[in-house]
Amino acid sequence: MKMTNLRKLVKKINWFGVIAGILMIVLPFAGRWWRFTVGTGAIDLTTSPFGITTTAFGQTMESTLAKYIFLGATISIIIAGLFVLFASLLPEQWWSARLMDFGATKVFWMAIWLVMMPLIGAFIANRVLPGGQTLTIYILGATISIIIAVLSKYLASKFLKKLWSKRLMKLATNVLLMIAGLFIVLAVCVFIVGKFLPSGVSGIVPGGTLNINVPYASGSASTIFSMSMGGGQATLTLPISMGLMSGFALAIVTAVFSILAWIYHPGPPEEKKKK
Amino acid sequence: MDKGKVLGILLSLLSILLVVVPIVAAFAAHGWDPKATLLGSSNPVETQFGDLQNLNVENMIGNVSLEDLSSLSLTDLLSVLQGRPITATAQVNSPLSFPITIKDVSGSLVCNDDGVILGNFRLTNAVEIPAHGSKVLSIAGTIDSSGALADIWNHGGLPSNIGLQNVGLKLEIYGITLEGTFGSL
Repeated sequence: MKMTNLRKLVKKINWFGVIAGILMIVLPFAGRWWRFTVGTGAIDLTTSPFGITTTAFGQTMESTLAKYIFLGATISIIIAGLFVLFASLLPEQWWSARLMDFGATKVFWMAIWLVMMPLIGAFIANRVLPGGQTLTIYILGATISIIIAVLSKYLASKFLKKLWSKRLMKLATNVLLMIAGLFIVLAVCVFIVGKFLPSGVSGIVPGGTLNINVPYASGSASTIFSMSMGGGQATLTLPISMGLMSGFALAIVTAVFSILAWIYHPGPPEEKKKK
Repeated sequence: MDKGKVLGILLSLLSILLVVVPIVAAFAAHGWDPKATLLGSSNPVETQFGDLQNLNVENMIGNVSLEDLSSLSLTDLLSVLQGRPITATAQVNSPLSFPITIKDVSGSLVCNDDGVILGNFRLTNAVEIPAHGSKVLSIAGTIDSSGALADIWNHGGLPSNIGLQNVGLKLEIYGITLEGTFGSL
């Protein structure tokens, strides 16, 4: 009798969630996700959503604000991991779906943002700052993303019946809204550069040219600033390198298990009643 | 109210609190001073490069020695005129609190009166000077014999009013390369 109950209980457990929950608790201590280097020790930065280490010219830099924000993120992900774990072990409890909703997508969004921030930063540095960009493409991009997001939300509410498909569509809609937000950020940057730096950053110093070349999230490149004055010329070369680190691989695994756990997890009791 | 909804609201509040509380706590810890909260007490750029404004290049250069041309034999003198390099050494004392690599120093010696190039010089090897350390720079120079002879002919004697032209300097600090060329000095 006891064996049968145990078997039933084990069968009900959301195993994806158990793995995701444990990985989420471990993740803040599994190392940094991304590194950024200028020269050989001019700037060395390694970061993840849970911490940052920055050394500039051989000196370690510390920011209380960054430290506290990363501490908040660490506590947040540990709480989320515990919630996902409890929700997965007891999926039929009334609170289970709520706890799963709270925690399951956190690592996914952290990983997305960690990739998007350097990508957008590099795009702004390489394409927007030199000037000559038009606003139209970014406004169009934002508009199309919003239209698709609203349309898919409407269609999902109308036609999707299964909980997993609704959750997947919710995630896709949020990704589209994030893309729209990024287009808006780029549009604002293009507008500011067009308004205040009509000939791009190179126009800041008379006789100077700035050839910005920043890698997109991973890789190496050199940014060169040249300036001519009188009969002389000066050139400053900044080698820049970036790369994803081992902690990011674990973040991807965690995000995949969390999303699977979220999709697989039973819905809240009110949805069951609706059925 | 439905307990599920109450839990939902509480979880949303928890999310907000986990973002807001650390920010407020960080500012409160530094007496609401935004600069101290953001950057902390250390400013590496100021610490490392603050003393650059008091830099005196003349004080950095110690013993300079040049190969004694007067003691050269006639054969050596002829080989110098035919392009054998003359070496000059100079001790450089760095007051800087960071290491610096002098990768290249080059240029030409020119007679400012008639613009004739008398010779060229170049750093023999890149030199890494440690923070607050000193190293000896070795610069090899060659005489442009046709230019030098033409200048002697123009002046009816040894060249005077000698200046530097096309001086190039290449420095590396923490992997960042700074390269400069100056038309004339």
